[in-house]
Amino acid sequence: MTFKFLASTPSKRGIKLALATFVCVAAICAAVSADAATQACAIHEISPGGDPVVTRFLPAPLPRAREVIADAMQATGVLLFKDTEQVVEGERAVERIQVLRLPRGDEAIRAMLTAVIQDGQAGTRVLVETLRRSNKKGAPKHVWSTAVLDQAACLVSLLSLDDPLHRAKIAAADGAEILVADSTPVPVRSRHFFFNTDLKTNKSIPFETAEDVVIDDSTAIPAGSLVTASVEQASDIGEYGRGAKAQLRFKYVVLPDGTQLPLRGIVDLQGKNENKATLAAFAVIRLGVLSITGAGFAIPAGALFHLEVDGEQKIRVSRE
Amino acid sequence: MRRFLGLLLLVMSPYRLRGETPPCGIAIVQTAGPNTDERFVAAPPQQVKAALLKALPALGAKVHKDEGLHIEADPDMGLRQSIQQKNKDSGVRGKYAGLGALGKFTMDLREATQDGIDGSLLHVEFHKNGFVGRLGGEGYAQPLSEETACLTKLLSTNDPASNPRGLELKDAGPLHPVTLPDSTPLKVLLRDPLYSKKLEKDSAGQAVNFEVAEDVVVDGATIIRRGALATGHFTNVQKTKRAGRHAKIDFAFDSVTTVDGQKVPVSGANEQSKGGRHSETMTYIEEGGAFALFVKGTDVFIRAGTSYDLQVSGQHTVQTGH
Repeated sequence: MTFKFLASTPSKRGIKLALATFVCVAAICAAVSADAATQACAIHEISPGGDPVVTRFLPAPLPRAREVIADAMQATGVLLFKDTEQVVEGERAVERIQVLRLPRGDEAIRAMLTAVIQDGQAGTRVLVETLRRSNKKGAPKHVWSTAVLDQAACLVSLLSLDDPLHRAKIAAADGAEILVADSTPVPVRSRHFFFNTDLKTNKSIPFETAEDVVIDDSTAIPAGSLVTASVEQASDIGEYGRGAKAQLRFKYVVLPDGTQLPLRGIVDLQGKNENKATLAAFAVIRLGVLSITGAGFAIPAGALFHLEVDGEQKIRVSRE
Repeated sequence: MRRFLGLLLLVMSPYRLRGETPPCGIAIVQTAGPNTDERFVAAPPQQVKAALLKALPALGAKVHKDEGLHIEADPDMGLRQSIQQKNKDSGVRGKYAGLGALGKFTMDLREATQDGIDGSLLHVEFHKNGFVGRLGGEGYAQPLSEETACLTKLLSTNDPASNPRGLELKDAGPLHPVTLPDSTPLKVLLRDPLYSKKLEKDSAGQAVNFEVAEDVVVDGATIIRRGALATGHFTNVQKTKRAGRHAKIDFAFDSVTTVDGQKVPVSGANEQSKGGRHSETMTYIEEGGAFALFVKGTDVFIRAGTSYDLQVSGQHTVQTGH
């Protein structure tokens, strides 16, 4: 799985400069930059272990808890069968396990969510259970309940609890005007888990800013602001060993007053192509080589990307 | 020669990306629970029946007897093949790729009241075909009831074709202009299931109807109501063909109707659905030799209630009293 980050400058319009390219060998490729290790919690590290049934309190409202549980389950290679108000369940799918480079297994994971108040704090109680798929009896090969809850707790702390898509605007008409310089860095995080099959050409993908962007002691872009990217040139895995491909083009960040500040950044997503030597070897022994496909790719929730403001922009910020 | 043939078949069946959001978050309908299910649904029997008729294809069944509030359904093998292929492509494992046993559904509806709320009592029975024995997991009654209850809640009672402005709201005030900004997000739902077998191959250009899933409110004013008509059109419809070539349904989104009756253009990712994710022609040829050339591909099936995220194109001024 390869992530290639490309950015273009107005002065060199049309020329894409590869800022960083690397092949991910970790369990999950979470970021496009070298400072991915500076995350608040370890979204990379997912490993099985612990009890099959685990209950934990998440300090998030039920709708958000449901989202993070779904994202956390998918990060363990789960294909979601059901994602309803109070139940999230699915089974680990081979295609996803291979992409995420996790241990193989025949597990199904089910989470049940209940809105509760614990120690005066509103949140959600989540029960996660690891089973064998298709209701088979016996113990599952691996247990993922703790890993799912750890990942979910991490995402709760890392990303906004409210939905940036439906945030009320805060007027800044009488606010101070500040100048945002061209190429001002804006770190952003993926708000959800995406597998290549979720991405269609023209689909909008939500991200949010990872930290405040401060200019002249004023918060120009608050952490958690909605960032929109659109998918371009998406193609799924294909025959003759072709891996999935897609290109993410970041468009803008939405400021608290609703202003859209243009951003610059392109990410090439590429699933692993099947080795040509393997294909050739298969071709010698059987004709079905053409039906061999490459691998997909995944963008885990919380994945960090580094973008830049596109052009010099004047914005108004609230005086608070 | 065989490799050349294989390459030719591959070129003839290019892959297209699939993607949609399933109704009520249930992506894979699986067998669960006993063979009988009875539940209260808070809607009149006719509304529940309409939802039931839209839910049946999602379980690979078709109506064979419709006697008002008593309905019977049989398995539709073509639909089951489409669902099985889709599940398999998604990554569902097992011999049946998430599908349950073959069998018949018997459904009865009657008016009922629960906790002072008028609605319907939905009784579903699933009778497994005798010869399958223990194959195919448990019952299909509960999944059908769940899908029916889901669609009853999800789809509005409005008929967008006759009332494109959506569900009426009470307490409408005097009309005033409100600006509907560019890129305002909205969600639409497919009102009826789409099945490539039921479509003509020259359907390209024909309209596809959707309804708006929830009110679009801007600065406290309702601009687009739930149940309002959204339209799209088929851009490509291809039937299944020999040599394992799958059917295709592609459609694009056109417009949505606002509270004042304007048709506002919308944009979204064009839907491109194919009966199968991969060309399995080579596998067929390997297993069946030349006979594989006579095997047809799989049809496309898209469930009712499937939702699509769209955006308003351009800025518009809408007269609203809400």
